[in-house]
Amino acid sequence: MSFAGLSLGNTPPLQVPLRFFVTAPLFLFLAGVLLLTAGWWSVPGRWSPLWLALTHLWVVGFMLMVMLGALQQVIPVLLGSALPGARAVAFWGHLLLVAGTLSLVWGFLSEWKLCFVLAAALLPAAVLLVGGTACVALGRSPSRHASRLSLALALAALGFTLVIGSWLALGHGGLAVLARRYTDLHLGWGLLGWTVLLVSGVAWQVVPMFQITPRYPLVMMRWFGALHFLALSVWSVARWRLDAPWLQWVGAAWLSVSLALFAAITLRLQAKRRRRVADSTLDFWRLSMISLLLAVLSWWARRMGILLPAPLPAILFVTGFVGSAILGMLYKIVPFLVWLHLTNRAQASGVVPRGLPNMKQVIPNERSKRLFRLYTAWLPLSWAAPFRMEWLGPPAGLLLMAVALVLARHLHQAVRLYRRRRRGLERGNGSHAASFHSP
Amino acid sequence: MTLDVSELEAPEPLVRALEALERLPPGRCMEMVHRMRPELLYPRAEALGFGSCTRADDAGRCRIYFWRRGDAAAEEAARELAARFAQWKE
Repeated sequence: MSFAGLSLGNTPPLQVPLRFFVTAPLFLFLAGVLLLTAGWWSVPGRWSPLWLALTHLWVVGFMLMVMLGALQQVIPVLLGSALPGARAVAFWGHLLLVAGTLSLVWGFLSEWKLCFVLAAALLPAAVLLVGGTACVALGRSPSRHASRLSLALALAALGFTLVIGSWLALGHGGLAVLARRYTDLHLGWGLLGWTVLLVSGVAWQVVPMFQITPRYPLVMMRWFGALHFLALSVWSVARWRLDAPWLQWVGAAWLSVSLALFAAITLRLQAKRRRRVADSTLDFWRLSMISLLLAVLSWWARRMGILLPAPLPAILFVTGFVGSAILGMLYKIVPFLVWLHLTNRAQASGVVPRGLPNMKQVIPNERSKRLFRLYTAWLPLSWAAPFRMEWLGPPAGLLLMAVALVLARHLHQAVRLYRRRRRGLERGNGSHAASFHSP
Repeated sequence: MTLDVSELEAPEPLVRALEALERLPPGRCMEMVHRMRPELLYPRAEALGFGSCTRADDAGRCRIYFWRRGDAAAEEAARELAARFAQWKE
């Protein structure tokens, strides 16, 4: 049997998602530098330049960067549909996203209006390019898996987030009225819409695949995305169009149930996993789901009058839930992609893909465990730092810089291993691989 | 021939399945038991000349039956085995 005829299929070149993944630690590092120098920034509070710059370094520079990179890989690999012009889309999308994020962050720090205008052009261009291409691929996908609907709704939520975000940026740039009352709408659709729908849509497939759990209940996979999107719509319309507090409560309660259900069922599935081998990426996901439950609880506790700091639910959400899920996912997706591309390359040249590095050799568990420990040490500081920035900012900044450096090092080690083994295959010796055609 | 990969982490199920298909003798079909639908396996198996049908067993596991295209005996055996289970739903 010859594997030579096997097509690389819909899998885009490895550099497509990787360029996004390897850039993300840079923005984490910059966020760490900002935290380290937090004491120099005199204006505290939600609208301070430091807070706005930090928030966008995290949600755009880190979260959106990794999520857009993952999206370009998930649709072809899991939903069987290639992204048209994947290489060019990734190149330009990445460039625009990096430039847009830096413009936006520098705009907040310097209050230079031109930066906001630039960001309002560059970031939508990046998202329209990558997101638009992803929509085309989703439309062409032959898969009927529930992930497809979740990803489509996630992209719709991202589009809405982007429209409000661009409008707010133009307001900062002096080209529109700065309507800050819509900031929560921007935040809500970005975090509860785009982020939750993407993480859940990917989780339907990736959690059973990599964590050896039973699959999510069919009913949940089918209905979660649509109902969550509807809940977010109800909450938004009630708050910004109808001014109906009771409906707002209904929307908020519905969203809370949706988030808590996703977290609780994921934890339950993880508890039922079949092979109980040590795996730090699983620990990252557990931490993520527990943080999501804590974020929901802290939001309701505040509404019930318990004195908790206002930004706590959002911080628990972005650093605890999203940050942990992203890191846990990266440490599975990157080794898997390295393995997949080396295997595809070997098969395409008619070579038996034996002896190629397995996932645990690309990023050994020891490395992910090191990052997990560092990240769990940083998390409580990230939750407390905004309230005592002058004391807790510097240690939080230093630890975040360390997290960024360790993450960057692990990703670069994986890339170097891929390049080394690929060169071996191209030279024809395949290191440990043998030809299919050999007797 | 049955291949149970329901306790293996990706990409082991894919690797084991391709190795097993490579060894599949004429006239025989392969039953694969997995906890999820192996999306990456189908295009590869198809490119290698295998047909398949996917079912869900009573425990909610995915059962996939493979046969070499053109091997009528293997296909008949696979379809007969598959008929015991319900259609797989995503």
